[in-house]
Amino acid sequence: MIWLVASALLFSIGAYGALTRRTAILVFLSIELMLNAAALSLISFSKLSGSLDAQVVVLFIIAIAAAEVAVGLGLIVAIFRRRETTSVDELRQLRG
Amino acid sequence: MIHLGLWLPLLAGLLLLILPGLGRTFAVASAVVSLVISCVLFAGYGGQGVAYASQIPFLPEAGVYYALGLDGAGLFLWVAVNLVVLLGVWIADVPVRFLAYALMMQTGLLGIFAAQDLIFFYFFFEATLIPALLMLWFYGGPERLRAIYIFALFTLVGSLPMLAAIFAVRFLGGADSFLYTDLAANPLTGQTAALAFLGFLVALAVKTPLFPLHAWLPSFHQQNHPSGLADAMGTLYKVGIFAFFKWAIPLMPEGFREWQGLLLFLAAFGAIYAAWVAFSAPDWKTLLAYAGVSHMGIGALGLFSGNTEGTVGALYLLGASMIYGSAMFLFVGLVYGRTGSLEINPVRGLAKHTPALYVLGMFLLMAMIGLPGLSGFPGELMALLGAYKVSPWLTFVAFLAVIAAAAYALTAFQKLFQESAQAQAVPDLNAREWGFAAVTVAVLLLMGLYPKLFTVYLEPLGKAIAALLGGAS
Amino acid sequence: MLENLLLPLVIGLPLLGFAVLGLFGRRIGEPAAGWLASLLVLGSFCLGLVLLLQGGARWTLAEWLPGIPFSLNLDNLSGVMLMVVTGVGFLIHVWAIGYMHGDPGYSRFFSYFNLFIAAMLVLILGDSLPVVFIGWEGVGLASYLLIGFWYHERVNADSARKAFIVNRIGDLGFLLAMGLLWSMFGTLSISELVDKVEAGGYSFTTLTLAGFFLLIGAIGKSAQVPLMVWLPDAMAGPTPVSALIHAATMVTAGVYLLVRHAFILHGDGFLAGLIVAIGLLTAYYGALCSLGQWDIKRIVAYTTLSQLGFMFVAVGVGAYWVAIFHIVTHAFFKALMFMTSGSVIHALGGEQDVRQMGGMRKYLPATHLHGLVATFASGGLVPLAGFWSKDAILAYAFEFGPWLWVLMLGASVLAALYSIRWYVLVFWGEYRGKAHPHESPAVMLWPNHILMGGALGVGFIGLPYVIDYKNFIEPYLTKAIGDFPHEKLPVLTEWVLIAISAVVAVAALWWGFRFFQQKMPAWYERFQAAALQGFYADALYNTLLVNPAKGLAELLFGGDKGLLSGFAGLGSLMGGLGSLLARLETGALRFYLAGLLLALVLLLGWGVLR
Repeated sequence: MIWLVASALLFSIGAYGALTRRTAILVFLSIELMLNAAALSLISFSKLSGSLDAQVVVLFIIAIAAAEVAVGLGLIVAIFRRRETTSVDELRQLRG
Repeated sequence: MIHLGLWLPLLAGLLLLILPGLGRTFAVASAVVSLVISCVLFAGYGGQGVAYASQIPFLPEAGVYYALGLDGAGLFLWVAVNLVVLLGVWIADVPVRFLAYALMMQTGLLGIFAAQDLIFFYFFFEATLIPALLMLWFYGGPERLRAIYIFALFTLVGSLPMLAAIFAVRFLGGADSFLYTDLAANPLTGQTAALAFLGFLVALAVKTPLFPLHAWLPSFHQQNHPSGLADAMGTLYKVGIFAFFKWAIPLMPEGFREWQGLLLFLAAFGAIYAAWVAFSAPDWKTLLAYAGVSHMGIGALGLFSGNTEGTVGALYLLGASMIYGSAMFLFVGLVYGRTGSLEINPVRGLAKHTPALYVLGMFLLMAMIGLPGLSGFPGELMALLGAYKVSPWLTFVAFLAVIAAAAYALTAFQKLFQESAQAQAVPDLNAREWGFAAVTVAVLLLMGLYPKLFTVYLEPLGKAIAALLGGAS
Repeated sequence: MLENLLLPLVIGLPLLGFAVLGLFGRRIGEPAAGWLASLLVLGSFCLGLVLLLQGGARWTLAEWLPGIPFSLNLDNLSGVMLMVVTGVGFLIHVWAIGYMHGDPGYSRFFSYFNLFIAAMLVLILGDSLPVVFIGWEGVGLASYLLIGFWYHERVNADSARKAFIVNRIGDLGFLLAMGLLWSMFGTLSISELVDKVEAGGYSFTTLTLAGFFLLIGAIGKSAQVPLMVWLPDAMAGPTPVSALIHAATMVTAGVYLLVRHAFILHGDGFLAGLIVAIGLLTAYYGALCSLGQWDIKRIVAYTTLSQLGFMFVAVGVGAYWVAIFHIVTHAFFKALMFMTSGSVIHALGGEQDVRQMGGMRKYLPATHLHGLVATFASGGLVPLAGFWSKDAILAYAFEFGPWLWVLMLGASVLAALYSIRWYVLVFWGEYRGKAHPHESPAVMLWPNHILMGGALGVGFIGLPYVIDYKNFIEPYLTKAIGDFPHEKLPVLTEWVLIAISAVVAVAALWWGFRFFQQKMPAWYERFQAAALQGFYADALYNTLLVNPAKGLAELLFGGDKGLLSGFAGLGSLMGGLGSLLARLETGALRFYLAGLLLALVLLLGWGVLR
């Protein structure tokens, strides 16, 4: 149970960070926190139910997250090179 | 034979687009062959059921078949369409490419009447739009962009609910394919039928045209080429009544009954409303557009009565109005060729110099306002007899249009031909136009004086609809 | 087989004339075109007579429309009408050969004229209501074409159009009658309807409604109040047209229609009262208006209205054979009156204002004689044609109610007055115009001679029963109309009535003869001013109906454009909604993220609380 609470806390911290930070790097970091909170909760559920399936999935998540971090950081670097900033408030190209 | 009759105009049209040098003669020859084919098919019809049926699997996994066949109504309308196209390519003063588009459109129209598979029906129903848009696009008036926009929006947006309803009819009804016979054997029931019918209703109301979805029609006609060929083809494209009769009602009789009251009302109201509006039309094309709406209102009233007389009347009026309506547009084209204007005002007094044109116009006008003895009358009468059984009051309202029709038609006619002694000196009919006039008048008289020729084929269909809907209701 | 085709041929002959003259009329030229047309009508007359003497004929094309045959029926009733239409029609055709001499549209005129005869024959002979309707609208078309014969004048074209549109109001009634009868009995064949109505098994109220619809049709065609406004304007056409169509034949078609459907009308108190009321109103309206007109043709047109009112009263009181009898006598004397007027107009080079006439008895002796006979016949002088038929109407009116008899007697006094006024203004006094009157050619005189003979003698086919003489027409017609027995008046009453109406007619004619030669008193001038305008019926209709209808048309036309903008508005609305939603696309990443989280919380909350 305690792991679930930890997971929820981790998620909340990540969400708070993602909402309040302006630097893309930190937002990214916070999102990683949320992702790992989700992985954590999966593992705790797996422990509760006594099945190992979820642990396998989490292993996948970790592997893919590593790749994702590489791509994400690459993107941020590319954006910084182009725009001289990583502030998410200044990057508003998504605006319709 | 039926395949040739269907695809020949498209091939001829494409050929004419590639080799414009072939000229009008080629287009006329193609139209003549088409007409002959349809006449042969008409003469060889046994009088019952779907004839000349042929069926080739197209996407059998999805239940789609390339299935053609003609029943009495289909044959009747084939003859009407082919006749009008012939008249149109014969008389209209237009570039050769224009004729090519008209021929291509002809295939689409014939396909609508011949399709025995709902998907193919939908295909033809939509494909016909393309040449119509091309004609408007290349040869339309200065404000054609707006007209195209309106036309395309109404037809396309209208068709989407129908597409959805088509799938509903097949899959919710439990038919194995999109073939007419299959679908008709598994009609929808209850609430589903009502909803699916609404899908058809929207699309077909645009093409009937039924009030208030007629709104695209005036600008469509105003902006089309003044020769009237495109308008004539547009008149042929008013296939709503046929589609209601052939598809919507047999596949969803329960759905139809849900909407019958509303439909009767819209048809009756549209008939008198459009006739009234036509009185204020500033130019001939607008006038004819509204007149067409009014006539189709009367036809629709007959069809929605759901009895034998009404159905026969509606189909007869549909075919007749295709001919006189289109011929009227072509006639207006002749007037435009002489005066260079389609405005109803000012007074022109043409009759002095063009007695033959005057007589032709008189015949067409009288057919249009339903004078007995000419082609408009039998259909109107049968529609009246059918509608009166179902709703005397709505019949009364709708047939107020016969008074209004006399008012708008004769007023405009008087300004065009009469009143003035100092008329523009314009030439009377030339040899080619005489041919057009002779054929038109002969057909108007034939259809008016001997309707039996066509009604014998329509009557079994009317009886079938009446039986399907359970008698007089 | 050949015999069967004779009946359609009766119609076919004039139709052939229409086609031939319409296509090749210019090449045939004058006067051959006129003679051709006349002879074809004469052919119809002879053929019809032969068939009638054989005891009638029928011709049917089964299933012309689903359930509706194309059938023609020549029985005694339609036979009498056929004789009138083709007989009088032939005479007027011949007369028109002279009258239309030199008109650029000579052959066109005769082509239309033959079309009219053909359509009228279809109307008369049709046994199936849609067939009758073909003729019904066909005569309307011919009337439209002929009123607007000189269409380059705006007023003529307008009059023609007005006639057609007003007639269409009546036609709507006819159409609805067909719808109703079809839904009641499932047939539109008149001879079958007779049986079905007799058989019963339907609601009488509904049958009354059917009769009412037919009545509307008849009102339109026979120019009864309130649809009378087109007939005076119809005088814009050439005079032969007025004589043939707007006096002798077409306008009586409404009466014919009602008589044909006597089996529907008979015994229905509501319809009887309505028809009598309409007929009375029209009889008085026409008579009073006629007394104020200056245009010679409009004078006669209004007298026609008045006489049509008489016929309607006859139908209303159940005197169906009398109505037809009056049609016959009226056809003779009114055609004579019109053609006399036409001869005068012809003599004066187109002058139609009676104030520019007068004294014609010196210049046109033969025409004067015609006019005199027409006046006396129309005024109801014993023993001319008009007297007998009018007297029969009066007798039946007395049976209906003595009050009606009094009113009708009043109307016949007016009839005597307007007839004599016309006569006095045209033929008596001194000539007030400047033209040089000349008597008409023989081709115009001879038809009038024959019509004069008719106006003098045709009344003797229907003498009242108290005179010991065989009434020919009553038993002849009742065979076709159906026998509706009624109590005959006592001999003494009948004689008294006859005497009164004879004396009154003479007195009115004499008084009128004196009165209209004097200078008019002031009250008459005032009355005349109102009567000249038809008591402002046209102005009233224009204000109440026509102009609002036109205004509404403008309004609706604007509204219809609005409808399109309405659909366009629907489109813009969607666009607006879209752009409103697009405002959410701020581009701020954290805004999106907050949205995501908010949605997550909401979803979770929903899941937990559910």
